[in-house]
Amino acid sequence: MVIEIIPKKGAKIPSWQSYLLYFIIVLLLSSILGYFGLRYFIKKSDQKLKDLTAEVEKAKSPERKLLKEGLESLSAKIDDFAPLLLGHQKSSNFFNFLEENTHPKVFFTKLDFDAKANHLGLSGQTDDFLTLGQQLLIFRKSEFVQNLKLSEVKISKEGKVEFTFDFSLNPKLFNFSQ
Amino acid sequence: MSKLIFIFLGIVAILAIGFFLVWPEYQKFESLKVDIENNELDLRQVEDYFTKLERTAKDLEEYQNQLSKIDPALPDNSSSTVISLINFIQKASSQNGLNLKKLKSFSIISPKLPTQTAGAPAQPQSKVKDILVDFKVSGSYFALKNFIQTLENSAKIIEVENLSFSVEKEETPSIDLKIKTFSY
Repeated sequence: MVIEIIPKKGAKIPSWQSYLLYFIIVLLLSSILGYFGLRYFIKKSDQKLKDLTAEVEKAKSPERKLLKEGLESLSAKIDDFAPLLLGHQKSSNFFNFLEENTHPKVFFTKLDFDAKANHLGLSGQTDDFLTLGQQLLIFRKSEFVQNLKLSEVKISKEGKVEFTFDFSLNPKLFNFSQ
Repeated sequence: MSKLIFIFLGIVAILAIGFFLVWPEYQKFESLKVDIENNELDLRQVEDYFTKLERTAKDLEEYQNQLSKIDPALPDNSSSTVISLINFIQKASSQNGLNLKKLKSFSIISPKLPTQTAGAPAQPQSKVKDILVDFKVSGSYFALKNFIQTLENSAKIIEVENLSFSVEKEETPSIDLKIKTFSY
């Protein structure tokens, strides 16, 4: 039997195993560091978010909210007021129209004016049919008279000619520029 | 052999840390980043909005004179508007030589609710109420004309809805008037 006096070398570990182990250790440490790093940034971001939320709230101060409400109410009022102002009619133009378009010998005894429908009913009397005809012509010539109708023409006990005019008034008559 | 075990355990530990600790924290961090971006945008928008409002309020100060005419024309309280209108009618009629004979009726008409069709955007509803006053006066034609002109020149928006009169021989004409004004 041969006696070996030189000890045998142990099985050699391949170098890639050592490199891999070091790499794994580095990776492990990095992930632990990464975890704590993330936690640090989360804490910082959390604080930033709280500050921002507080800033947003601060930006909506009670004075600014009051200003907003005031302007909203004013805006609504202007929106409601504008169409009213635009649609506002100058009713007194109606009297000027009557004065300019009444024959000197015609006397109106009854007037019915419906502004919504722009309808005017006029009853009156005059001395003769010639004057009534002239009054009819005056109305027909007027740019503000539409759908003119003459009715109930009769002679009264006093010998006067009684009549009724019905017509629509052109809405332009009630413009403020008239 | 022992190195291989350490390598294996190391990989398991890295995966466990990554999956159970780092990944959830990373997601939380990302969501916080989005929240911060949204809040920064919010803050910018709020600041821009209020800066614009402040600028508008400053610009409107130049039109104070014109804007001050809206309140008397469109007062806030409909009940007090009716009372002040009747008072105004009484004063204006006597100033113009008319005699207020009878206050027939008055009514406050609230705005109708808008009819909303499916799919169509809701229209903002006007809060303007119509105030109608029906009354009888007596007086001459020219007194009536001046009275109507006084109504037109008032700070309120007053419209004539109906006007009728009849002249019976030598009597002073009796005039029926229905007027309309507006309030909130």
